[in-house]
Amino acid sequence: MDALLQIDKLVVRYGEFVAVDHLDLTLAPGELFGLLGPNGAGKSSTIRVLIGQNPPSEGRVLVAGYDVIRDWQTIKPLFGYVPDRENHFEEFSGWENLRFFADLYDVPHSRIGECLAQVELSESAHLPVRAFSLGMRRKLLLARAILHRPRLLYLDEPTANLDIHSCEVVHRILRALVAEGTTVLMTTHNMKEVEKICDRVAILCKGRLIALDSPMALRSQHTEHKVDVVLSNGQRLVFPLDQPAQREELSQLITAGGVVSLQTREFDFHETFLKLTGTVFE
Amino acid sequence: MRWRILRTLIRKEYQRHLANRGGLMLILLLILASLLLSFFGIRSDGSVALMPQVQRCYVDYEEETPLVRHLSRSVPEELQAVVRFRPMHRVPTDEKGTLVYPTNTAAIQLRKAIQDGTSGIVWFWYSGERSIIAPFEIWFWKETLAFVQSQRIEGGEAAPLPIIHRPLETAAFSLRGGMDSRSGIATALVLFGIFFLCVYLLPSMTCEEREKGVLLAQALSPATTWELLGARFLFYPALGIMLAALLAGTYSPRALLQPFFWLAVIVCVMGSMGIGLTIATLARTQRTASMGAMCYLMAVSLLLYICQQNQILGLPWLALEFHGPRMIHAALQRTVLWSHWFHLLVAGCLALAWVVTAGQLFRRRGWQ
Repeated sequence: MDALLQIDKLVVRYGEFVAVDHLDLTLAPGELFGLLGPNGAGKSSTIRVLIGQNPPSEGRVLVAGYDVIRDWQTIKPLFGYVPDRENHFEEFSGWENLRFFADLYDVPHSRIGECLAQVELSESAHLPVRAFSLGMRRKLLLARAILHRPRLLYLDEPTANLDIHSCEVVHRILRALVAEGTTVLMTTHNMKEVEKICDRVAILCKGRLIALDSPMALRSQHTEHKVDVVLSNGQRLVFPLDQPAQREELSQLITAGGVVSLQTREFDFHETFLKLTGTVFE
Repeated sequence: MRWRILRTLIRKEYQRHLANRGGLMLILLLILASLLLSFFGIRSDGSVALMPQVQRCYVDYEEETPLVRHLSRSVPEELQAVVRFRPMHRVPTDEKGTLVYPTNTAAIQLRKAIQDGTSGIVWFWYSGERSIIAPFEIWFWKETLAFVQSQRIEGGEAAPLPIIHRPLETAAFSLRGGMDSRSGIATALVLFGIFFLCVYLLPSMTCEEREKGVLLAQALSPATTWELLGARFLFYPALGIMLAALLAGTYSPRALLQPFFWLAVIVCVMGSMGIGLTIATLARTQRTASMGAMCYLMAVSLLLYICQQNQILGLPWLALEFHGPRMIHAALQRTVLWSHWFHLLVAGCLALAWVVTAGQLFRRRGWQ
């Protein structure tokens, strides 16, 4: 299948500082892709190139085969963008905000109601945005981004500051879009979110790609295969499960009834990140 | 440029102004002031100069006599920048043939007597206070006396008396017309309206959109940057011209019948748009844009004032704000002379320069 988004050896420099260092990524149609990394990893710099706000210092970015610099006007209607901070006309209502962008994209007004319903903002559609809560504003951003049914959706921290229910709504919408064939690229700090909804994840650190795989594969590669056991005499033991002798000993303890408690080790993203980069994720 | 997108962007500007009532309130106040001026003002027939000062003193003569040649050679250094000699037939006239002098000018007219053509007539014309022409009168009489004495020494007692020896009739008159205070205020209202819309409101609203990221959202939509720019170039000038026409029409409806008025307003609006967009492109935040507009106004006002006080005649011509009041005032008073057409030409060039500057800056810096 042809790639919808292709990033080839992308370099973004700000003077001497290299924000993105030879990044290679390929996103297929209908893929939900997570770009994960701490502050300063190069996520926002990458997004700025994708939305045409920064030219690449080196390399190229293709969207549906079009170069993001050379064919910018052709690319613009193909993507939607949810920025990390809300940017609405405060004095307009949610509906008026969407109508303005619907007219720019030449989208029928009936679509506005659909998008507002998807993000559960139908009831407050005619309130001025200045009266919206932070979560409502972020959901309105998503409604605006999907208004013209883009083939590619960029989201910068889409669930930041959202309550649990709103996060669920956003996740449900993203999965529905992906099911319809939309490609989604989202940046996030939240590994749990990535595990929950992303098909693949790339981990960036200091501008470099340090891991690229499915969340499940990352989990299986980096989860510690150990169990913590508390014995009936109060003694605490750790059994590495990848060693046959240790596995045998654990089995004997369990069958002899000497184990009070047994816990498997969960995948720890921060530990994994530290192991991969030698840097604390923050 | 696609009309569908331009229409959407223009409607957005219109709706934003409807929602932000501050701008509308100020526009209504300007209209109210214009109405008050129209209903309750007392038209002043006397001449009131903008500044009680002579910027130019013409010596207009009917015949180039030895006295005229002597006077032209003996202008003191401190008056040289102000005094100009010209034959009477070159003085501009209105449609009735009356000689016309611009604001802040004075004149010494050397006329031949009508009856026998031998005795001289000297008329002094001035705006406002009689005292403002005093330095020129003093110079004139001092040099006339010097001329008479030199003629006597050269020709001796038998020499024919120069014309100045004959009984000399003198008179002093106050120039009529000048800057009527009501028309002055009406001019200020029109120009302030244009400035407010194009140099203050346009950069302020644009930078607010940039600061909040809404401009980025529009730039990522199918609208091109030139369409975003074009919509502003359609909305604000149209609003500026309408407001100027409304204010001017309230004061003097007949002013709207003059093509010169419309040309002057268009030039002022386009120049102000250029200035406004330059500020909008350079400023990053709404506060900076507002400060930029205010600083620009202050700097130009100071420049014009300093130039006027120090008799620096060329520099003010580089400011659009020098030409605007003269053009609009002449249009409101329906006293448009060739000099006002020249002001229009220069202002048109300045407006074009500002628009080109704004376009170049925009090409380099864009909206971000």
